[in-house]
Order: sequence, then structure tokens, then C-alpha cells
Amino acid sequence: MDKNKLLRISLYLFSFLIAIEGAGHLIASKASKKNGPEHVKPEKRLLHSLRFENTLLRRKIEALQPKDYILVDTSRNVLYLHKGKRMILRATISCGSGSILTDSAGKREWVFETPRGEFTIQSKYEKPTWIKPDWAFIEEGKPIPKNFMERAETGTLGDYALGFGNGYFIHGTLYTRLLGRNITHGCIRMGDRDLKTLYETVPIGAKILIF
Amino acid sequence: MHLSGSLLLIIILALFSDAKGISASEIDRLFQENRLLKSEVQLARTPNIYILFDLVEKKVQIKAKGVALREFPVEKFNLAGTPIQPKPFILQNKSALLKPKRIKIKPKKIGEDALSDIPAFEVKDMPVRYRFDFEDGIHIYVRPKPEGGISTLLDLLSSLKSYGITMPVGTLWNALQQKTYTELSLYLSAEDARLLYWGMPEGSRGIIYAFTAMDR
Repeated sequence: MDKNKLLRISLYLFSFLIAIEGAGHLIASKASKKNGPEHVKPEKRLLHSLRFENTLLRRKIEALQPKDYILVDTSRNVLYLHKGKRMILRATISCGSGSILTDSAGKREWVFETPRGEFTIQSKYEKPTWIKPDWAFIEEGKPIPKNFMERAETGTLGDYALGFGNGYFIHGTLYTRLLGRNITHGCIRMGDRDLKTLYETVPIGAKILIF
Repeated sequence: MHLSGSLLLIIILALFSDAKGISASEIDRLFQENRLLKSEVQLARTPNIYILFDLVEKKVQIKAKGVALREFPVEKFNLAGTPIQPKPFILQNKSALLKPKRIKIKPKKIGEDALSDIPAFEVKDMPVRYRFDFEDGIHIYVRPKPEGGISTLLDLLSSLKSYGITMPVGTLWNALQQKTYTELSLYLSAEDARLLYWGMPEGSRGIIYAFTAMDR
């Protein structure tokens, strides 16, 4: 028998054996399918369903992310304005001092902290008037006025104010040299130029993330 | 010859591809990831800030609405005790040897300059060595990366205290009370440690993601 013939017969034999083994696998897999779908390669199905579910969950998280938002870093006193994936404004600001004020009777206490979390711009004002709350008089050692109009103060909040709830505002300041420090009563103070940009860019309903 | 060779190759490839197994660890990892993502969806739906301690990627993230607001790389970490599931835990207490105290404002006298004294409470006042106590007996010790003599010595003492006292005693005490006990030591840069202390107020929620084999 010549070598080529021998080689050919060996290959045919080997292919035949492989084919028989393959057929065996096929029959075994069909038999296992008959036992119920949950027993067919459960790991593989589990793997696919987990991957699919995890992809859906990631998309759910992405859908919760605001597209355009104001980001306030209270630790570094910086405000960023994001439009889509672009950051269009970076401004030095002043956030809450975290200090505590108690009235002389010891009944009321204020913690001057900028609130953290997600908020919404609820109002916008040009040339805002500050209606001074009780703590402002207590801090200054002045009696709390009974007449509402005595609480009104103009100029203190700068040219614009953007309210984000519970009496908190993003507003201007007379003390620009203190920008970059935690010195406010909880509001966010900005320089005039940056405040103007923010006021003109951000609509009511815009999201703020403060951390 | 050619036909039989091709046939052979196809059959071998088919068999190999069919025989390719799915590792159990991959399924476990996907399960853990699934729980992590479900927990994050739960937190991202709220308006609150939350923290993700991702020990797999060795990073800590301050997050809100799924947005990573700040990220700190973890230099190294040690995790011991009861395995943690990636679910939201409430931060119950923050403690430090020198815990920063809020400044109490003294009301001004008439005529006094309102800006003569600025009572600021800032990041530089935050500690670099502290402990976060979460519910379910989870304690996170944040330490700065040891650099130089004193910090290395302090780190050694902290490790001795942790492995020689708090871990064994805490584990035994909590086991007797049928409670869980986990200790995580996180090493961050000093600046990041201060920022993390600032960024995580008591009452906020955190998820710890440490990939371990788990019950499905």
C-alpha cells in the first residue's frame, strides 16, 4: 500500500470517528432539550439574561442623568455649567460656612450650610431685593423688625438671583474678594460676569447638583 | 482530500466552540454587578448624593442621579469580616480623633465690622484619619497613604489596633449577638481623604462593591 493511500484512509477513518462523536453530542443535546428548557445549558442562558439585564440597568441609570445641569462643588467653591457633555462655564463661588447661629433665647438655631443633592431652578430675578430673614438681624445684633418693609434690602444680592428652593439662591455679591471661601449663610454667591452668563443661559427648571 | 480536511476542521472547531465552558466566577461577577446596578438605580432615583466604594476598580465616587461628581483613586485597601452585599447602607456616624467642630457665630455688636471675623468651616479643617460607621456593622477606616516616619508609624499603630483588637473582638462580639461585622481600611491621598469626609454627611447612603462569590 502506498503512503498516500494509507494517509487518505487514516483521515477518512478519523473524520468518521469525529462525525460519530459529533452526532453523539447532537443526540445528547436534543435529549436534554426534551427534559425541559430550564435544563438546557442553564449557565449559558443565565449568562445571557444577566448581561442583557445589566445592560438595561446601565441604560436606566444613564436615562436618570440630567443632560444640561449646574454642578456646584461646595468643598472647592466652584460652579460648573454643563451643556450636554460640554462644560461651558467654570466659576469661582462662595458656599455656606457651616457655622451655627443661636438666638439669644436659645430657642432657634440656624446651620449655615449649602444644601446638597439635586435641586431645580425655580425662579429668576433681575435686580433682586433681599427680604432679610430673622437670622440676619440676630447676627447683626439688631432687633427683628415688625414691619415687613424694613426687611427689604436692595443691592446686596447683586444684579441677578436664581432661586432653587427653601429660600436658597444663586446670587451676586458685594464681597468679591471673598469668592472661593465658605462664608455664606447657605446661598451660592458668584461674581458679576459669571452670574450674568449663568442667568442668561439657564432656564427655569434647570437641574442643579450640589455636593 | 481537500473536502475531508475542511470537514475535519469544521467538526473540530464546532466541537471546541461547543465545549467552551462558562466559568462560574463570570456568572457570580454578573450577579454582583446586577445587584450593584439595581442598588444604584434605587439611589439614582432619589435627589440625594450617594457614595460608591468600588473596590473592584479601586475608586470611590461621589454620585448623584448616576453622575460621578468626584472620583478618588484608592491607593490600597484591606477588607475583612462578613462579606458585604452591594446594597445601599446608611452612614450612621462619622468619628475622628480630632473631629471638626462647627463654629458658633457670636451676634455682632452695633458698629462692628461685619467682615472682621469670617467663621468659615472648610475642607482644610477636615480630618485625614477617620471612621465611617454604616448600618449592619460596617466600619470604614479612611487613612492617608503612609509617607514618611510619623504617618508610617501611625499607620502601623492603626493596623495593630485593627488586626489585634477591633477585628477579633468586634467579630466575636457581634457573632455572639448574631450580628455582622465588617472592617474596610481605605488608603487615600490626604487631600482626597479630607474631600471624602466633607462630601459624605451623616445620613447619606453608600454602596460597597467588593466582588466575592455569593449566594444567587
